[in-house]
Amino acid sequence: MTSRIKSYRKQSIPHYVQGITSFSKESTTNIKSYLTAPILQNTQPLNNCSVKDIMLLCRKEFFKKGEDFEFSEVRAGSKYANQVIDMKKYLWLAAAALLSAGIYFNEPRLVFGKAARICLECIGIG
Amino acid sequence: MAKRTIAQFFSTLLYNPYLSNLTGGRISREWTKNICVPGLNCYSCPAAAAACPLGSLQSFFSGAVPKFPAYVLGTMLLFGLLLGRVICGWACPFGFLQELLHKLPGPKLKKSKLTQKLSRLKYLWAVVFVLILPFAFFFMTGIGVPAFCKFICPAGTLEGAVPLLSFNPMLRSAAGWLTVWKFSLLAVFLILMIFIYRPFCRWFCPLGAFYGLLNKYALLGITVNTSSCIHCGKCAAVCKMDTKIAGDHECISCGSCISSCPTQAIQFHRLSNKNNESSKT
Amino acid sequence: MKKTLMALAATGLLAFAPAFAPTDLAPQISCTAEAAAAPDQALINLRDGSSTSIAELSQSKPLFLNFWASWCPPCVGEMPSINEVYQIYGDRVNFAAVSVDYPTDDAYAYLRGQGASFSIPFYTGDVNAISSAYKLDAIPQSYIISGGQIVAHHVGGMTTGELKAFIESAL
Repeated sequence: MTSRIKSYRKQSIPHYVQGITSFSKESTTNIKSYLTAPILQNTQPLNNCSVKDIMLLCRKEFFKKGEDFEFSEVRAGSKYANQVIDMKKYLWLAAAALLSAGIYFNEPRLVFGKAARICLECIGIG
Repeated sequence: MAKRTIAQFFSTLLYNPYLSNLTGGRISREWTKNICVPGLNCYSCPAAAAACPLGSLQSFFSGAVPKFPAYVLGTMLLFGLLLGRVICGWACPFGFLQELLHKLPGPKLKKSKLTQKLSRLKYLWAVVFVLILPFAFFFMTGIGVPAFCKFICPAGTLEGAVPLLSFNPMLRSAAGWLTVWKFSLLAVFLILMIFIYRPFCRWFCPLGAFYGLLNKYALLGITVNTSSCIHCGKCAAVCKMDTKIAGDHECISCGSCISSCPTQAIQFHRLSNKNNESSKT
Repeated sequence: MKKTLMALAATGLLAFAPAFAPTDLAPQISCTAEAAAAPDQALINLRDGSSTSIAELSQSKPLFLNFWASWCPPCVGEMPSINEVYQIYGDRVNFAAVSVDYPTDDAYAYLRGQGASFSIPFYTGDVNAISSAYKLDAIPQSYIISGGQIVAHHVGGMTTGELKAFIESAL
């Protein structure tokens, strides 16, 4: 099950103060529909919270009650999650490109030339 | 825990199989020295079969004709993307040594906010000694210098200098002030390792710094299920490294936090696990 | 516990195996300057591409043979000193600074750069053969060859004074 949320970090969302509905395993409703949460009524006011903060609070409250929970499928990915995935792709590409370029320019032989000789400086002779 | 010790022992021997060379004052010239090992292992170690990634990287910046180290950088990136700091926890001989020394009896320094701040120093050493100083020397004197290897690396002193200077009189006769400095620094590190858990890995190692940055992208290693995590901080509390949460850039994937998690949110990420609920922090 | 010990023992045995296999090891660096036959190796002058050999260079006069690489800081660090003593002893002693750069592009790059101001003769050759023949486990290494024999040998960089003493010892 994918768990991604839109990032509302910097936005003030007073209309979410009403809370978030209880999560259930069967529910697949979009996160925007989670507007009331009896579980959060005894917690501090939720002004200027991101959805992620609210979800974190929910997790903590559910855990305290010992209730099982699971987030439902949502559509948008969190900005952070998307960033991690994109960076991974580019880093793999970079690794492949660097290795290919290095092997093409015979750099392993250079590495050998240095590694097969005692590095006098490394052993403190200089 | 035992699995990890076996992996560390095995990798130490895998990187340094030519044990009979240790008393010969000589080093290997096998073809395997075209390849870098993932962990910190000096290629001037007589027993070493392959090249040190950090040493190889710096050697490209050294001398009169500095070059861009595409092959070494690509190799390091590949290792980091596959394993991240799993290398530090499972496949680094110098990390293994630090853990063994830490088992010796004595007072142990507990981690704190100060030690967490100190852990950022390794990025400074990486930038200054691995990048800036070699080129600074090059621009000042026309000769780039492998500054981290030359002035700091205790792995080179222990693995290279100790056996070579012990059994090679000609090299011994060439020893000077730099030798004194390096051996003094090695002694300090060895003593610190008894009282502090992995001080070199936490506060000095540029290789660990690099792999740490790739921890969140690595295919293998500790991950936290963000759906289950309640950010209680218990994993960081039991962790001996300067982590803030399991799986962050300080995490060496030793696995000792797994049993501490009240919601069982911590697990080893496997290649087959494409479930994005388990995301790296 | 038993399983762990068995695994450790098996690993140890496995890991020790390569230690007994024949390997391409650089021979131990000689620590004495006892006379030994100087292996002959073909050399190519980096400046004009002409061919010669170590035997040829050491035929008429003693030869100061220095092995260096462009990536080796102590090697390039002692070049100005070698150049200085070349000005003093160049008429009595042949000089040959042999690069073990592989590929040799870097040696040429050095010659075009910093090496341009030095008048020392620079050479290169079959790097692997030269490295094996002269036990180039570490560089820089300097030899004095006279009458086809190695009469002096030094590992590591030298200052001008040390170079003078080194050459004088063979004259």
